[in-house]
Amino acid sequence: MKKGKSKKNRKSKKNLKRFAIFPVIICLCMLLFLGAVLAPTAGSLISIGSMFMSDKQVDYSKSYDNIFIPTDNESDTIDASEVEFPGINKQFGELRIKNRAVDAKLFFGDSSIPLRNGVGVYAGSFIPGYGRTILVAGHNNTFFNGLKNVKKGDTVEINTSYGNYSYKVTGTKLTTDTDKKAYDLTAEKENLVMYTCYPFDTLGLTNKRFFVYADKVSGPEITGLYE
Amino acid sequence: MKKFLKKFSVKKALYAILTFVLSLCIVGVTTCGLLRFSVFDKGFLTDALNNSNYYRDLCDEITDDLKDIGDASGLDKSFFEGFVNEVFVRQDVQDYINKFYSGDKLKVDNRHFDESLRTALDAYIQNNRISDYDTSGINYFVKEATKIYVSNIELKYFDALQALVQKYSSVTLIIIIICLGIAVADCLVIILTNEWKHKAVRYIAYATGSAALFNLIIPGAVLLSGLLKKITIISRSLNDMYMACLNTIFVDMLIISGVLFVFYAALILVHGKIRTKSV
Repeated sequence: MKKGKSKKNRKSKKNLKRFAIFPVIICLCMLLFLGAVLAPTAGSLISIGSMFMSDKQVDYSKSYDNIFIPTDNESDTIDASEVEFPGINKQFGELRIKNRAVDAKLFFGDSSIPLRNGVGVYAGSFIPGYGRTILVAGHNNTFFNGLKNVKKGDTVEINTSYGNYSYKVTGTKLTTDTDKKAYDLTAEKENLVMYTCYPFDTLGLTNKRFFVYADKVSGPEITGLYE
Repeated sequence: MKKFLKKFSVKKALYAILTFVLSLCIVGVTTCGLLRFSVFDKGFLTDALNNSNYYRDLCDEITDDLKDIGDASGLDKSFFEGFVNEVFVRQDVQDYINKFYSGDKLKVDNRHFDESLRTALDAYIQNNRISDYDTSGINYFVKEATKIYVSNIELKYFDALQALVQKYSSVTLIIIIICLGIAVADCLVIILTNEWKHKAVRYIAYATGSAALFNLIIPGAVLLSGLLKKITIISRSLNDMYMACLNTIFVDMLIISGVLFVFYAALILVHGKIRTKSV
């Protein structure tokens, strides 16, 4: 009787094992089978899907990081290793034109967050100290409204965490938003180009743009950039 | 090896194939059924939009974008406060969804936005006694603002998805019918050709169990890997909407898996009872 019971127990245990193992094996076979059958379609879908993937979770907040800490560094050069290079949409300085009502936070990037809170350096141009073109955008009815008052010879001050820069206005230009000759991003000398929509203080939108050009007067040059 | 060959028989191999086919059919029915009641169902998308707070977020995003263009057009920020009407936004998005499912050309009707913007601008000019404005500048502003509104109403990537939905929504029903037919025939073959009915129940149980696992593995892997959090869509409202859709689909898959596991457990019990009787 006991022998019969233990035999029965062993059989039911064996059955339970079967019920645990076989579905897993079949499921794996199914995954392999479907993987092989759907590979031509799924492959391209996965590639498309990967375009929408990022390592970081998207930040939808309207706030921004500020890495700007005023400095009184007056040296002529600064090593690149000492410079904290700004990331997109980060405030890294201030831009000011005294007596011309231009006083704005300076951001890296010129998308909506920078332009809502100040003025922004176009990410395809350079930051002060690089010895190249710095292209700065701002709205004509907010932070760059004061550009309408700017005159040749005015001084533009840019303060960053790694140094304070000054530029002298050399001229202005009125052109359209498609005029690529209005600035030169390949220039080998440091120059500041500020631009905004035109006309000022008028209701309506146009494709006209007002450019202000300035050359560097002082400020530390970033060295060791390409080492 | 000898032991294996001794145990192996053509009959067993055939039953293994039949079980595999049955399992595939169950997965086919559940997957296509899920698609029919989710991606291919207009109501599903409408619910996802409502549940993800889509309309309110979208109104905020449109307002922010309009304020940006307003900053370049001499308009006070307060001009756009409450300007974007959620009722119209809902209506336009719903209209877009209707066109998406009916196969019509996906185009947003922007007439009422254009009209209400022009009316609001006229009132703004009058109230603020503005004389310095250029009509062509106003027209250009309205044109650009309307473009912003339209691009926000359009559900991104839906134009690419429309052709797929149109193509496969009718196919899923055919697949369900075919899979059900094969599954029933498969079950009948397994039951009728097995002298010991508990063995037939066992094969059906294996198929049900593997289908349950299949429905568990995919959403489980995606949810546990945190893959959904890595999706990068620039618009918050759209991202939340897609997340709501995907979460609902995965939760539905988990529910299907749960139901199949209940069936699986029931079949194990039935198997045990029939087997005891046979013995």
